Formats: sequence, C-alpha cells, structure tokens
Amino acid sequence: MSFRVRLFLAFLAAVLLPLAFLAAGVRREMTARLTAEYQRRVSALTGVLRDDLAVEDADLAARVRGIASALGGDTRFRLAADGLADRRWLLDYGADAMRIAGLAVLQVQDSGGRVLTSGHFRNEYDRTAPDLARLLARLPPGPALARVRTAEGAVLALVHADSFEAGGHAYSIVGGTSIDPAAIGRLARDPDLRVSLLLPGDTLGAAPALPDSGARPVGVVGNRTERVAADHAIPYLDARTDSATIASAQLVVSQRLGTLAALRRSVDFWFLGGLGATLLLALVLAAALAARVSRPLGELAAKTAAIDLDRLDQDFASDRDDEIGGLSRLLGAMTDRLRTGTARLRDAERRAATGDLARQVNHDVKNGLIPIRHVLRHLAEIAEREPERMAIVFAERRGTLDASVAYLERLARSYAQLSPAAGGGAADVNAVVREVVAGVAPGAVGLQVDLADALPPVPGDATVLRRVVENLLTNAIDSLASPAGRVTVATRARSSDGGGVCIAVTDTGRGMTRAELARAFDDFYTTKDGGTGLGLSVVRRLVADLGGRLRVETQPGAGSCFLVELPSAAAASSASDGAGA
Amino acid sequence: MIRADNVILPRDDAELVAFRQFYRGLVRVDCAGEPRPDLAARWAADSTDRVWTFELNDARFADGSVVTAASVVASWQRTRAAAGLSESLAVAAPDAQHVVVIFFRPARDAPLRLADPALAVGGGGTLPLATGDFAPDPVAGFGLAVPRGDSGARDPMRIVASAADPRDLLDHGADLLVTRDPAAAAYAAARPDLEVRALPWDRSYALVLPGLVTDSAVDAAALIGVAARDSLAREAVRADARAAAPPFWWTGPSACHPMSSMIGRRRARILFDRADPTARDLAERLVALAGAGRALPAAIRGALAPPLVVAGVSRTEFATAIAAGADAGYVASLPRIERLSCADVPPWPAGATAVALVETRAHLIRRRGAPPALIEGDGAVRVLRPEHAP
Repeated sequence: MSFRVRLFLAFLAAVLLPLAFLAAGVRREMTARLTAEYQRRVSALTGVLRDDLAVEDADLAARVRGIASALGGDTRFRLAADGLADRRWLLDYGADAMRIAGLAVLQVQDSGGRVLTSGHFRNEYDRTAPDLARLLARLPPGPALARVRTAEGAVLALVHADSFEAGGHAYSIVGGTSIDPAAIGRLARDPDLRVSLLLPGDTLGAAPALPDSGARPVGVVGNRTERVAADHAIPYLDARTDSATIASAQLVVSQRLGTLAALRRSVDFWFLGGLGATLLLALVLAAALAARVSRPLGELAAKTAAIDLDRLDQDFASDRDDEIGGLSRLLGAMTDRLRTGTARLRDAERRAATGDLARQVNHDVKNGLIPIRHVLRHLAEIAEREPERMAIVFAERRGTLDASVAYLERLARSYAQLSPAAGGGAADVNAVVREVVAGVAPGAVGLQVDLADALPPVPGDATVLRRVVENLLTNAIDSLASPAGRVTVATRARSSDGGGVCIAVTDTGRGMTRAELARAFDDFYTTKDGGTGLGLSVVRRLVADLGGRLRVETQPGAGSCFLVELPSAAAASSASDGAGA
Repeated sequence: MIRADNVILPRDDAELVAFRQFYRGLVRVDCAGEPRPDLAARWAADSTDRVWTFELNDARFADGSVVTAASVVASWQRTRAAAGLSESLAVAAPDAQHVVVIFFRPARDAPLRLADPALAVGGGGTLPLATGDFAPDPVAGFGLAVPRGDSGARDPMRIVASAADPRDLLDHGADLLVTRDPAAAAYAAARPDLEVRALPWDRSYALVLPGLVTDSAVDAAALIGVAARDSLAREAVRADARAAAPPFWWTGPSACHPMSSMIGRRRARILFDRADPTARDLAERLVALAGAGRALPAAIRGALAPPLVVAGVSRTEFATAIAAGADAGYVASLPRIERLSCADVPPWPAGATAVALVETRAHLIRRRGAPPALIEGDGAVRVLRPEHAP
C-alpha cells in the first residue's frame, strides 16, 4: 500500500467517522423530537374529535327525543298508526320531520320492527327490519355509526335510537346525521395529520389497515409513508339488509411521515455533501503531501540507485530545511566519503595491479625481443661461418629488427599511457591549460579559452593535470566533424563542496549516444580510427586520483561538455588529514 | 322551461299548456272524449275508412292570412318526421279548403287521432305563426302571449313554466295553474278565491323490464295486480293517482315501435326521469318491494334482484338509457291514450316488458274572475278569450 493511499485512509478515518457519528445523532434526535411533538398534536386532535362526537351525539339524541315526544302526543299519528286516518300523511311524516329536525336519517317502527314511516327512504314503509333499533338500544350511551339503506344506495350516519308510546303501543325511532368520510378527513387542520374513518372491510384512501379491534400499538405501518398515531373505536351497524350486526368502526388519526422523511433527506443530503467535500479534501491533501514528501524521496532513491564505485558523481545538494533536506545532505556527505574511500581503494588496486602489469610487460617485451634474439643469433652464426655474407644477411633481416623495435616502442608508449602517476604537490590549473592550448596548432580549429582569475591551486602534479586537459582537448578537437566546429576550454572557481576549480571542455562535435556514453570510460573503448581506447579511462582515473569528479553532458549531433571538478589543494589536504585521523 | 325547438310538439305539461293556446289542430277532443271541429269544420271518410277528407273553416294565422289546406300540409310536413308520423299516414291538399288524410290501415277513429297535439298547425318560421286565439309575443317569445287582433288595450297574458312551489305561484297572483302537486290542489281548494278542477287521467306509468321477456304483452302488462297497483297509487305516489286500468295501448299494434338494442349485463338500478316525482316515488317503492321477499310477483323479482337502487337522470339521458336497456328497470311515463305521434313515448328495447303501474292526472286551478278555460279530452287546457266564454 503506497504512502499516498495510507495518507488518504488516515484522513478518512480522522474525519469521516466523527462526521458519521454526528449525522446519526442529529437524525435520531430530530426524529425523536418530531415524533413526540406530533404525538402531542395527535392527542389534542383525538380529544377534540371525541368531544365533537359526544356533543354531536347529545344533540342528535335531543332531536330524536323531540320527535318521539311530538309523535307520542300526536292524535293524527295515533289514528294513522291504527289505520284510522290518511296513511299518506304518516308516510310523508318521516321526510317532513327529518327535514325539520335537520336529520339525514329518520325511521319510526312499531314494536314488531315494521317501518311505519321513513324519512330517508319514504317508500320502504311496511318493511320489517327490527335489528337497527334493537341493537342500538343495547349499546352503551355514546356515539354509534350505521350504514342505512336508501333508495339511491346507502348513507353513513351517526345514529341514535329512542322509543315512545302512543295509543297503547310501543314504537321505536331511529334518527341520524350523515357522516361524510371526506369531511372527516378535513377535520385535521394540520397537513401532516390525517383523520380517517375505517369501517369493517373498508380502507379509506391510503389509510393503513388496522386490526379489527382492541388497543392499537402506535408504530409505523403501511407503506411507511404514514403511521397510525391514535385510533378510536365506535360501534357500527350495517343496516343495509334486514338483519344487522354490531361491529366496530375506527376513527384513525395518522401522521404523514413526509415531513419527517424530508428532514431526514435534508440531513442525509448535507451529510453526504460534507462527506463528499471531505473525500475531495482528503484526496487533494493526500496528493499534495505525497507530492511534497514522496517525490523527493523517489528522486533520492533514484540518485542512490545510480551510485556505484565508478559513478560517484551524483549531486545530493538540497536547500530544503526539513527531514528530506537533511537526508539528502547526509547522502551527499556519505557519497563524498565513499568517493574518498574509492580513490584510496583504487590506489591500492593500482598497486596490486602493478605486479600483473609487470608480468604483462615482461611477457610483451619477451615477445618483442624474441625476433631480435633470433636475428642476432642468425647474424652471429653468419659472422662465424660466412662473414662475407654478413652485409647481405643483415640487410635481409634488418626489416625484422626494425619491426620488432617499432613494436617495442609502441608497447612502451601504450604502457606509459596506462600507468599514470598522480604525483604530489599543487598545480596551477590556468597555467596547465595555457600550456596545453599552446601546443595546439594555431588555426587548426576554432579554439576558445575562457579562464577565471584567482583560481586556487589544485592537488596533484602539473603533469598529471596536463594529461587530463590534454586528453580532453584532443578528444574535443577530434570530435569536430568540420573545421567550422568550436572547442572551448574554460575554468571557474567552485563555490560548493568546500571550493575548488572546475575545468569545462566543450565542443560542438558529434556528441555521444547513450550507449556510447555508457562505455566511454571503459579501457580500450574507442570510436576513433587509430584510437587506443585509453584516453577517457585514464582521464577518469587521474581525476579520481586528484580527488575530483568528472561529469559529462552530451547530445548526439550537438556536442559534448566534460566537466572536471577538482577540490582545492587546501581542501584536499584537510580532507586527507580528516580521513587519516 | 318551454323550448322553441319543441314547437309544435309539447314534451311536458308546461309546453302543452303554452302551445295549446297558440296552435290549433283540425280536430279537438272535448272533455267527454268526443271529436269536435277546430280548424276543420267537417270531415268524412270513404268506404274503406282509410281516406278521410277534412274541410277547413275560415281560420286565419296570427298575421291575418287564411289557413289553407296547403298550409296545413306544409305544417305537418315540417313536424311529421319529428313526430314519427311518416309511417302512419299520408296527406294531400286537393284544393285550398280540403285536406285529404290517407291512413295505411282503416282508421275509424281518425278524427280522434287527428286531435293529437303533434298535428297542431302553425305557420312557417322558427317561431311558427299561431293559429289559436293567442299568439306568442314576437319579442319575448313564449314568455308572453297576447290575444290575437288585440288592440293592446288589455294587459297581455303571461305564461310561466316554473319549478317553484305552485302554492307560491298562486300566492303571487297566478290566474290559471295546471299542476300535479296534490298539496297545491288541496291548498287551492281551501281558498275561496280559487277553484280546482281535476283534469282527465292523462299519464300512465309503466315499469319497463328489459330482462323480462313474456309470451303475452297483455298478460305481462298486468303482472302487478290491481290491488298492488291500487296500493301504489294510494300510498307510494304523491300525486292524484289511481291504479292503471286496461286496456294498455302499448300492448297492441302501435305506431310507437320499440327500438332494438343490445342487452348485456344490466346494472342493478331502476332509472327514472328526475323531473317526474311520480316516477321517482314508483321507482323507490319498487326498490323497497324488491328487497322485501314475496311482495312482487316472481317474474318481476327475478328481473329486479336486490341489491337495487334508484337513479334519476335527465329526460334525454332517460330516453337513451331505456333504448339501450342496460338497467334492471325503468319507470316510464306514457300518454294514457294512444296517439299518432310517439313524441313523448320513450323507445324501450324490443322484447322488453312494460308492466302497468298507475295513472295520474293534473289539476287546473283557476282564480275566480280569470279568463275561462276549456278542458280538452287529452287533458290540455285551452284558455278562452272573454268574448268566447260561454
């Protein structure tokens, strides 16, 4: 798992968990408080509904009682009921009395349950339907509902039954006021509350279904958009047929959960918004921190990976004042110590390699001397046996002698180049550069010299330094593809790493490819005709021996720049003292 | 509401009263049911009783022009299609004074049948020229009628069709009132300034059952017995009613042919014209009886199975519904006597049974001292000009 991902997850854990906890708490508290508030409103509304029903029932009872009293004292009713007067008057009486009393239901029955007059259904006279009055009389005092048959269908009414006597006969009377379920629904002034009247087998609107009877637990029901907050049972009779039965209607007060759901959605919206913003912020912060921390670390890792004993020229300089800067400087110091140690190691290696070289030289010289020995032995034999042919034979074998001598001379030059000697003391860089430049044939190339003043002396012998500059300058001149090319030799004082001198040899030659650059410092690698392949190899070793660094910047077709960074003689001396201590 | 497009075919009591004052037929029927000359002075039939010739008197239109045989034929041609007369007779005007009526079947009672209000004669125009003693006011339409040829010295007579309580109309000074409300008749009878006369029995009510098919229309018409019909008339109906008595003209060959219809599943309701309180009372009583065991004959109980309700609709909707026959039953109001026109006979479906229920009649209430009125055989009232009063 990357540093960036861990950083991101840490941000999430630190911010998201408290945010989620806060949102859940707000949601829970809001729901509890709103529910409690609605329950108070529901209780108040239920109380009002019960009171209104009681008042309506009492008023209904008074009106029915009034009609019963009037009929009990009405002579015409007594006569009509006994068939002794115009029956049409009796049949029309129900409708007239019902209108006068402001009722929607009125029915007068004799003791056998035969309808004598009916206001809501004038022509149902003589129908025998005793159950409505009989069952109503059995109910305890209080409101009761009935669905009563009319010619057009049925009407739901709040009903009340009473009785009276006239002419020695008992009569029952049932009166009622119509109940409009839609009007009941409008009783709830609060838009979040709904009042519904549920009759057995009925569901009004989208009201939640209720069990038939008994106490109702308050809770969320139905499609979870509404919750039953309270209900009130009312006796109910279905009198549409001749035989009625008592059941229970429910006056239900329910709470619409839309407002609560909207609040929850609002909280959820803001929570999700906050969560999104947190995620975005975490991503940005993680990216920024990762860029500030992991990228320099990656660069340090890349530089460190590029270091080996032959490549100790990585630059770990940093101006950061944080841990990354400290680490970079630490790696730079370590590289410097490694460079010093490497120089010493090379010196030890060179000394160890001297034996091998001596053996090689011995072998090579012997190889060169063998033909000479053979010629000399031949000449000695001729001198002894045929002195007169001495001149002729010498002339014949002289070529062999010349070739062997030439071979030995080349061998000597090669070994001379292969075994440089750093030497001791201090050298004047500018003087060495001028000496080397003076040896270049005037006008051969466009040579430019740019020497800085007051350069400190560098460690090492001037001859060694000359070999370095001479090799680099020769290579630069050789790399020029045309006489129009330019070579520049410049010197500068170094301000970093304890001071010193920097020598830059720049050409506009053919430059090097990456593959060529990778092998440029290998022994016996050359791209020039007749080259020995030892120039740059020797330069690198000499620079290392001098405690300096060699860097190359090159581009195929554009030229190369060789930078030789040498410490000052004073700095090299103090470093040598420190390492020795 | 009196409607101009019902000229000359009255559709209710109000239009019957109004149009009877404006338009006359060739023949009128007196209160004894006998044909009397009106626009025709005399008439005669040929030996087949199919061709009848009516000789016109010197009657004139409201504009003073003479009512000729041609104008009679033209008037009938304008109305006969709407009245459904095309298949009953043909007419011709051989000269200015004679109208020849040819029946497709022998018609010994032709003069009586030509007293049909649908054959009243009017002049041309949207509001036909009157031929009666009164004419519609050219500005106020049917709202006002003025005596023909009057110089304007007298106040015009006003005809009002109102749904208000007829007792209120009397209290506000109405001189003549035709009503079927027994309470209004009782009220008028108790007042010394008003006199009440019962008009002839003119309306019959029948229960039309599309779902009841019988072999004999005559027997089916009497499915509800006389006693039950009498009970309906006495107790269920709040009008001057009596049990419908045979013969029931709709059971015989009639000019009013039933319409055919598709009869599928029927709605459990009895339909009635909501403007007719008698029809409503009968429908309600039938619903009550349908739910009361054996109160109705078994055949009717089968057609009126509970649960059943009543439903009142407009006259137009009622005519459409009864033609479709998609309800359990219909309480239809019919003219008590057969007429040539079927204008006020609802077209019940072919195969349906019409069961007779009750007959009703209206009352004429007249303020004492008001213009006299003539009661005709079809129950219509014709106001007489004072100079024509007996």
